[in-house]
Amino acid sequence: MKEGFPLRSPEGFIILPLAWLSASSLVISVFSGIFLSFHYFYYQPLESLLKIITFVPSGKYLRSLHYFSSQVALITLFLHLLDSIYKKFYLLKGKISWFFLVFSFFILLFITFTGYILRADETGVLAGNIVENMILTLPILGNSLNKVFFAINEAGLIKVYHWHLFLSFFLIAGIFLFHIRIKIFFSWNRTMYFWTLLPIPFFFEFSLKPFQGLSARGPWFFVGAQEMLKFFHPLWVFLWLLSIFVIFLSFVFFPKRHKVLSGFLILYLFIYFGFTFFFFLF
Amino acid sequence: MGFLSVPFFKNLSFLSKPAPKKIFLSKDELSKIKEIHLGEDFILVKKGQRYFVFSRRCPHLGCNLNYDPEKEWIVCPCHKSKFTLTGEYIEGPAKRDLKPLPFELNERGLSLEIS
Ligand code: FES
Repeated sequence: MKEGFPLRSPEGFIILPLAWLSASSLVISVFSGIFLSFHYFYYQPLESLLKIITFVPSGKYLRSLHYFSSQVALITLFLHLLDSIYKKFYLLKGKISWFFLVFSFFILLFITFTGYILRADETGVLAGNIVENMILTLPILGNSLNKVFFAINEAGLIKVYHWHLFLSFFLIAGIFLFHIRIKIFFSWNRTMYFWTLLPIPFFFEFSLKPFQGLSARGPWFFVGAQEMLKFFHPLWVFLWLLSIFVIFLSFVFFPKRHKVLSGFLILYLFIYFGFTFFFFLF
Repeated sequence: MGFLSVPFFKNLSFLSKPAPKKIFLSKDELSKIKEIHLGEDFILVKKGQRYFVFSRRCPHLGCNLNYDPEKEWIVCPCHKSKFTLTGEYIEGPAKRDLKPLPFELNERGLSLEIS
């Protein structure tokens, strides 16, 4: 099959189903998001969401689909990135295109995270407060970055909402312009990814958490950071979270250091999952 | 000339800042409070005839605080900082006491402003 991109590096074939699953769930997430946005008002976030799941026709399904497909997109994109690193695909790419690939993961992480904030249930409100206060601890840039991306306390969810929308389209346009051939993606034999994803939200409930009482949990992928914040200064935790970006990028700049960098990456993930595990343990 | 626009853009977010919230609790409402009342943005504690009012934001990273009736602590659900009912820090990453809010108590009730 001719895909238009090198699918084999000296280390082996890329796991294509992972890549297709990621792209398909991203497309589903964006389209379900468009329909949700017709009923979502950032100045009444929780009310809008409750209306969506109670009154809007198929609203509950749409919301679950949006939530579920975004999670699948995030997890599979991360695994796709790890697979590309393991099989040294970055050697076949230029520095710039590798940068954009890594960057796309962070954009998706940001979009998923802002999605949590936009729910405006207790998880969302807590996540919003924490990220805002964490960014403010950044010297020099903190205040401006917060004003551009969040400023929830000053301006409500308006900025978060617009970044959530804008970056979703930016991401999907970028992926289809530079990374995936549209013709190949929408071929008949790939529709099975869509058919597999679409019915799943019928069987699971992705409920809101309006009140979490004495112990609250943020988005699952930031639970490790939530636990870290109990012990370390927010600035260090923030820099720690960003450092995986540097590790991912370093692979293309120091290809001969593959083993050392892989060691760092494994150690990073081990520590982060360790903190996540601790959160659930205590 | 471009520099002149810097203060303008700097103050743009100021324009979208919501107006301070004014909250009023009537004498009737106050009399119903046994020991503690958790408002959306504030915590009111009644100790005999004395009142303490705090911001409900945790001084660590701003999560909404809750009350643990078993231990009689004010607890942050995010990273488990704990405070006494008079707002003093007990343990956890917050490392600071709760932020007291200025309030006014008169014969009609209690009023406070949250900015
Ligand atoms: S936000 Fe309260 S302890 Fe961190």
